This record gives sequence, C-alpha cells and structure tokens, in this order.
Amino acid sequence: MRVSSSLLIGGSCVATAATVLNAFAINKQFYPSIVYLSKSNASMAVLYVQGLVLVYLLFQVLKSILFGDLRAAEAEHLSERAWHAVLETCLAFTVFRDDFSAIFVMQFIVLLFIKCFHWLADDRVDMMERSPVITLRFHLRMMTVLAALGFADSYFVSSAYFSTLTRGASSQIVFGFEYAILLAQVLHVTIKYLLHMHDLRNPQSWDNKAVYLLYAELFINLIRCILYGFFAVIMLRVHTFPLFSVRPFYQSVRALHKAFLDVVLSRRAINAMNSQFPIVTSDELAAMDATCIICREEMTGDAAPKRLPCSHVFHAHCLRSWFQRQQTCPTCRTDIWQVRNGTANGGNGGDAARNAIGNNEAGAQQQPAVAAGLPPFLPFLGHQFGIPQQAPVAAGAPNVGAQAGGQPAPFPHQIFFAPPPANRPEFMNLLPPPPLNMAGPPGMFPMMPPPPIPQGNQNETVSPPANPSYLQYTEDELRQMEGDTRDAIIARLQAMDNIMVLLESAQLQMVQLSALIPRRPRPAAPAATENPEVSDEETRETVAEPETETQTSEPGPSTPPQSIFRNNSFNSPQPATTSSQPVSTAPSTSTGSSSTRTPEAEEVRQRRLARLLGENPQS
Amino acid sequence: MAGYALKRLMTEYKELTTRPPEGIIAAPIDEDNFFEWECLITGPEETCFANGVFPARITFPQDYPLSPPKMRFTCGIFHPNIYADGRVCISILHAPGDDPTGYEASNERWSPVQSIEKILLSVVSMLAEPNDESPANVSAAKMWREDRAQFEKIADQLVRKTLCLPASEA
Repeated sequence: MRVSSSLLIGGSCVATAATVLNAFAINKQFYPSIVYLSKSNASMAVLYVQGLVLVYLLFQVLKSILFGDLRAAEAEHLSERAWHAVLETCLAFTVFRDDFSAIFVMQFIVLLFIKCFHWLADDRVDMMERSPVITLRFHLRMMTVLAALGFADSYFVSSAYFSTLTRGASSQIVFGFEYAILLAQVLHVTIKYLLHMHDLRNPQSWDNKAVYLLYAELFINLIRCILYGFFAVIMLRVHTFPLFSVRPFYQSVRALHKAFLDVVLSRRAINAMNSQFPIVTSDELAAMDATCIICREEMTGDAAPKRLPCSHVFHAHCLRSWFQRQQTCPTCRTDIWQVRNGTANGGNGGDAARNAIGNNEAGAQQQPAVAAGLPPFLPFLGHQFGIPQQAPVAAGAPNVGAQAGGQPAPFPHQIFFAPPPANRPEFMNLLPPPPLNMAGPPGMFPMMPPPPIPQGNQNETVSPPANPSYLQYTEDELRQMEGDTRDAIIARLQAMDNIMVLLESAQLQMVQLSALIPRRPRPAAPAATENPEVSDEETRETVAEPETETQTSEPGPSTPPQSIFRNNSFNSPQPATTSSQPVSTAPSTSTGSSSTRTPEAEEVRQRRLARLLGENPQS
Repeated sequence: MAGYALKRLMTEYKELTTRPPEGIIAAPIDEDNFFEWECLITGPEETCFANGVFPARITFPQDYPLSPPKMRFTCGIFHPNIYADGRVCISILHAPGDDPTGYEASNERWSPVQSIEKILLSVVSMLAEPNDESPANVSAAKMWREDRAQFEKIADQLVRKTLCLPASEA
C-alpha cells in the first residue's frame, strides 16, 4: 500500500511534468501552452490526477503535523469510514449531476478530508482514556485540531448558508448540512475532551464521568438526528430524496436510540444502586476478599461498594457501568431484577439476603449461649444420676458423662439438645460421623477423673466402660488397624463403633441429665423412677428455658454457668482447680455444690423448678 | 485518572508477569497502548498441537472488561473453532447479547469475571478439545471428525512451522 501510493504520487508527478513540458515544447509560449493543456482531455486528466495527489499530500502533511503517527486501530477506522464516505459521495454525485464540475468535485474532496480529520480527532480523544501517559504535545495538538476544525466547519456552514440565500438552492445545501453535522461532531469531541481533561487532572476516579459522557452523546445524537431530518425534508422539497444520506441518517437514529436506552438503563441502574443494594461497610470488607472482580482493585469503605442480592460485592461505579449492559451479577449471573422482584414482599432482595445471613449468625451465636446455660449442672448430676435404665447402651457412660460435663466444648451442641431417647436411633443415624479425637478419651484430653459413684443412688448398675482408653491397644493391635486389609478395616470399623457407642451413651446421658436438673435440689426424688415421657417434656422445657435462665442469673455475683467453661481451657490438665468460682468444685457432690450457691442463684433455681412443676413462677 | 479499562489491563499485565500461568505468555505489544496484546500459547500436551508455540493477538475494546476482547491467531492455525483468518470463536469471547452461533448459554459468555489468563486457558483447552458442534472452520471440523490422521498431519506441519523446523516429509 505504502509502495503503491508513493509510486502513484511519483508517477503522477512525472506524468504532469511530461504533459506540461510537452505542451511547452509544442507551443513554445506560455499562453498557447495553457490553452493547449486545457483543450486536451488527456492533459486535463493528468492535471486533475495531479491535483488530487497534491490535495492528498497536503492532507498527509497536515495529518502528520496534527496527529503524528496513526495507531493501527485509527488507521483501520479511517480507511473503513473513508470508503463509506466515498461511496456516499458517489451517490451524491448522481443527485447533483447537473451541478457536476471540477469545483464540485474539489469541494467533495475537501469535505472528505475534513471528515477524516474529525474521525481522527474523535478517535484520539477516545484514546485519552486508554493511554497511560498524555503529553503536553497531545493537548496542544488536540486543541489546535479542535479549534481549526470548529473554525473550518463554521466557515463552510456560513458560506453555504449565504450562497444558498443569494443564489438559491443548490448543491451548497448538501455541504452546509454536512458541515453542520461535522460541527456537532466537533462539539461532541470537545465535550469529551474537556471531560477527559477534567478526569485526568483529578487524582481520584471520577465516577460521574460516564454519566456525563452518556448525556453528551444523547444530546449530540439528538442534534444530529434533527439536522438529518431537517436536511431530508429540505432536500425532498428542493431536489429529490437524498439517498446518500440514508445510511448516516439511519446510523445516527440508531445511535440516538442506543444513547437513549443507555441513559435509561444507566438511570435505572443508578436508582437500583442507590436504593436497592446495601452498602458494604469497611468491617465487612475486611472480613472478605475485597477485590472488585470488575476492575480488579481493592475495595475500600470510602468507595461504598454495593452488595447484590446474591451477596457478591462490587464497586458501585463498576456495577453501574456493567448494569448498563447486563442486569445480571457479573460473578454468578443472577438476574438482579428477578431476584429483587422475587423477594419484594419481604422487603428488598439485598436486605432479605442480609437478614438471612444475620439470622444464621445470630443463631450460631445463640446456640452456644444456650448450650452454655445447661452444662454447669452436669458435673454434679452426671455422676449422681449417671446411669439410667438402659444398661446395655450405657456401657462406658460414667467416663463419657464426666467428659461431657467437664469438657462440653468438643461436643456439637446438637448433642445437648438431642431428642428424647425414643427418637434417638434415627437421630444417631443422621449424625455425621464424629471426629475421631472426640472419643479418644483420657489420652487425648486430660479430663476430670471419673467421680465416685454416689451412694444414695439406688439404681446403680454401672458397668465399667467397654473401651475407655485406646492406650490399652497393644502395638500389634494398632498395627493391625493400619493396613488396608480386611482385618484392618474391620478393626477400624470396630473402633469407630465403640466411639459411636460412647457418643450415643454420652448423648443419652445428657438428655437425661438435662431432664433431671430441676429435681436436683430434692435429693429424695430418685432419677430412676422418671418415666421417659415426663423426661421428654421436661427436656424440651429446659431447652426452651435456658436463655432467660442465664440472663436472670447473670446479675448474681457468682454466675456459675459460663465461668466454669471459660476458665476451664480445653486442654488444661486440672480443670476443676483452675476455676476460681465456687461452683467449680463441682464434681464433688451435689449437696456440696448447692451449699456454695449464692442466694440469688438459688432463687432462680427455685423459680424455674416451680415453673417446671406447673406452678405459677411469678408467685 | 486514567480509564478503568486501562487500569484493569495494567493490573492484569502485572499479574501475568509476576505469576505467569504455565505455557502462556501475554503482554501488550507496545507499552503506550495497552489495548493491543500479543500472546504466545504452547499447544497442550498429548494433542496434535503439542510442542507448538502459537502466536495470537488480543484486541481489547475501550470498555473492557465490560465487553470481551477479540483474539486472532497470527499463525494460520487450522482448527474447527478458529476461523480461516485466525479469529478465535469461543463462547467466553462473546458478549451475552449477541449470539453468533445461536446455541451458547449465557452463563458461558463473557462477563467481567473473565480475564486474559482465563481466556488463554480456555483457548488452550479448546486446542486440546475442539468443539465440532459449532465450527468456525467447517472444513477443519469435517476433517477433525472424518479424517483425524490428515488433521493431525496439518497440525503437525503447523507445529513445525511455528518452531521454525523444516516440514516433515510424510
């Protein structure tokens, strides 16, 4: 392309020189030579081509002064648009074949070149947003170009206007409108340039720039459409339908439509952004991966990132520009409008999602609190009423009971609230297999020694734990469990079975203990006489109770429940001694512990007991 | 403050240079213009494209990452999902609005979550497993389906060409 155009230019120059020299050689004088040249069609053709070449050269020079080297994308745009413009120009020639003259052609060529400069200026200004460095020269060039183009456009518009006024409608109307449209484009480019300039001078990102750009585009496209419509009407009245302007007209209508839609969608997105989606605070951001997946930058609390109903978080401005294109979550593609409408009755989507999360969190916090309310009584009771009716299941129960009482933390709280014994088998099936170390008793966590079995309990049929310690395993037995042979697997399964039994009995014991708690102050009431139904009901009530119970007992100077577990760290070898609370002498006997209670705690206890027995607690 | 597209491209460039994925090199052709990238993709192991190094160009739109970039191989690769002129036709490079193939689900289309690295990894897996259901290059898809030996021979020639090896005689 480069070679052929320089060849063309060179060839044209040579041909012109040859033609002119030939004319002078034949006619010997200036005037006859000129007449000869203008009379000869071949010579005129050569001269026209030369004129074109000169204009092209001038264009190239101006281009390199004003724009420097073109980028690949710019050159591509330029040639693409230039072809369309040439095509339209040819169509325009058919309309104005009566006016067809050398001057007319020259005017079209000038128009084409000026259009080229407009496109280049447009591309250049768009590039401001993409370029990492904007030099002073760029600004100088841009300002010169914009000023020159604006001046040229207004000059041509006014000259077309006055020539139409003085000489009546002619092809000048076309030029006038073309330049008017170009003037609108210059205005658009200038607005964009100013916006980009402002953005560049600002160290912070300017979120509203996109909005202003959109409005500018809408405005300019509106002007352009009005101009084209006006032009089409005038052309229809004066000449004929302006076929050559159909394509740009259609394009600008489409651009207007798009700009309008963009503005509408943008407004909708902004509204949604402002009203629908909650802002994520810095604290929440700190707890999560704070990278905005759209711009790949860290989000800070100042930027007021937004949380979508699907709980993905983005910069507000990133979301806004994405919502102009797509109303879905960029990460999971949930339709934001759909989600919002779906949850509309329960407030808006974002809040609903947050509430759900909040509830979960609150629930998670509540349950440990509830669990903490119960266990304090277990240390005493665990040994007193240790073994219930089900003797076979209770194998190893005292050990586990002690474990559960002294170290409740490792047990999931569900175990504390296990359903009554009747439901238990199904429940146990549903339980996930417990972590192994939970049942690796004395070797793994030091715990309170199994307490002496209280004498007063008449139903005492305690059998020793089936498999209290894995320390009992011999080297051979352990090795046997290591392999993946059938024997090893069976041995492992057996060990897990033991664990299951331990857990089950511990759980069972928990249920019964919690059922028996209210009876504790009356040692006379034997645990064994409780029938399962009653203990079931009481269990439920006790479960429902504990929060208020812990709250009411809080004001008391010694609030036994929580403290015993706070002070007993998980691995502390002597949990009982580390506790400073009087209650921490728990595992001794029930009477001893109850005697150390403060009057307040005792009162609470009595009230609760009264309620459980069906009396009015307020009385 | 420069545009978001530029910042994001710079971030991705930094990430790609500090933690480059295996078998992929990508960088802007010119540091003045972050919107034109050149990348080199090594053919996936144990395929007919193995050992080849395939150059491609990625062109980013002004509103990247809201719109997908375009990718074009510059080595004349013969593959069912690559047009004869080198344009790559995979679903994650298509904006959710327009559907050139008419069957892609919107969840495999472009979204700002995608990145240059993900695109290139998708292209590597596309090289390994052509999708001949919606071929961009119909003759390549036909050959892939019906005459695998010939397809592999063409791929092998290309691999040799990209490695500047003489063409095999076979």
